[in-house]
Amino acid sequence: MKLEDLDPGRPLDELGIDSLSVLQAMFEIEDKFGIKMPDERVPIRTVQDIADIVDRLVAEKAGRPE
Amino acid sequence: MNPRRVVVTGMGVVSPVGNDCNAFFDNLLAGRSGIRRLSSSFAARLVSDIGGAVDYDPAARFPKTKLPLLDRFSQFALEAAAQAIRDSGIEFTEAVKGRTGVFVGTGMGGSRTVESAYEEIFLHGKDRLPPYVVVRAMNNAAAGNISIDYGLRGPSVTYSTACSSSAVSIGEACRAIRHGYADAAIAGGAESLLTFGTIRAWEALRTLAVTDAEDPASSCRPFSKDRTGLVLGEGAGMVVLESLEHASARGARAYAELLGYGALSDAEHLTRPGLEGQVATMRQALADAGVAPDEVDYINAHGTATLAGDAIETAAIKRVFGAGAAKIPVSSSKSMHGHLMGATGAVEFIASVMAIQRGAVPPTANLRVPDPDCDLDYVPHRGREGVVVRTVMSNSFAFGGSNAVLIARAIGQC
Repeated sequence: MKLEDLDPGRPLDELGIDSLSVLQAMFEIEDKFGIKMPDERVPIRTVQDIADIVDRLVAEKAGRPE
Repeated sequence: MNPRRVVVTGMGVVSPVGNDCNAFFDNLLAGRSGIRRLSSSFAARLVSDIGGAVDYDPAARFPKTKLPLLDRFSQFALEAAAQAIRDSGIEFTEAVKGRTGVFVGTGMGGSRTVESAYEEIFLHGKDRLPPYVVVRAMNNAAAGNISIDYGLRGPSVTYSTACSSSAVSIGEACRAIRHGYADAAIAGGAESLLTFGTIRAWEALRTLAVTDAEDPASSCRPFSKDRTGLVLGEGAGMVVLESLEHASARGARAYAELLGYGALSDAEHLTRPGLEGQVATMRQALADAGVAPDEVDYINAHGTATLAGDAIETAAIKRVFGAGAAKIPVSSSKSMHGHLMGATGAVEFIASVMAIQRGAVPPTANLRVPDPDCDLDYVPHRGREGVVVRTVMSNSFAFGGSNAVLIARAIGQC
């Protein structure tokens, strides 16, 4: 699948990405962006959900005083 | 109802002496050892810095998306199972999938994954672990992965009886087919324990061989008076077992009939082998097979190369086979592939079945100094070819006192 064909609103399970794969992906995303997923469970059902949480955490990290 | 007969129709091996059955057996016959000094960075800190490592490239075998899910022991299990399934020619129709089980033995399963995960949090100060640790590490990961990959919906079970794990898994699969719980099974074992923590733990037991400085490959010397202990190895062995009807109906070639299984306990000591338990288990397997002692043409010994173990097994064989013991070739292929722990029973069962198929008996390598306590025909140094081998026995005697013995016999076309 090409990146431009990816519909951000499409449920991940329709793309063949199961819950275990999401966990693994989030683990790698944490490393890539230097962020940490919050302890509370954030529902992740679509690619957009991943983008939203990453945006939020990156912004929080940037705004946090050292 | 008479129990059904069970035949071996496919075999697969991943081992320190070859990653397919023919290479594996050719190396055994030639007396070639797969034991080397370990190349890992931690080897310098070990007293016993040798092992039987498998030469193989995981990235070439599994897709990048799948590999993070698989501990090395599961990778080996999947590879050996794939070979055995291909070799058997079995076709997994929906009906066959529903009647095929997976029986896997492993001693410590995904302990490599556990060890590296603990390293991360205890040593490297990480406060989180990758999400796949549990599913990689669990002991039934290998069986689960085989069952899922081929859609096999019969029983998927894991046996963990240390050194006899995969002799037990093959024996239990045989019973399940005999008694109608499955028509076919993928059975065997897998292990991959060559990690710093695990080798250190074995060193503490003082049962590992001292490295032979001049020739590390000859460090494991079963039945030789100068033996110093076992050498850890890694790998997997898998067989396809089928009921005789099932195999005949599809015109399968069978390597052998799995004729007898014995499984009894020493109930004596956690590590010291028990003479009486070994005798009883061999006798149970012979009775189960309906085979008289003088019909056995080859014994693949447990033969780990510990001082006590080899002498006790020799005494047990002499008790069971009487005066005839002197005439039976008995060898320990561990002298070349090392002790594959949870995989060793399966790999040695395969060596025994190959002995039938090839008409050749693998040797005991490195048997340099005769020991009066070990006075059988151990087929020293090189294999014996051009011999008639019809009935074979494979011994597995485990820590914890869990003994298992398998007997197989030649069979023609089903």
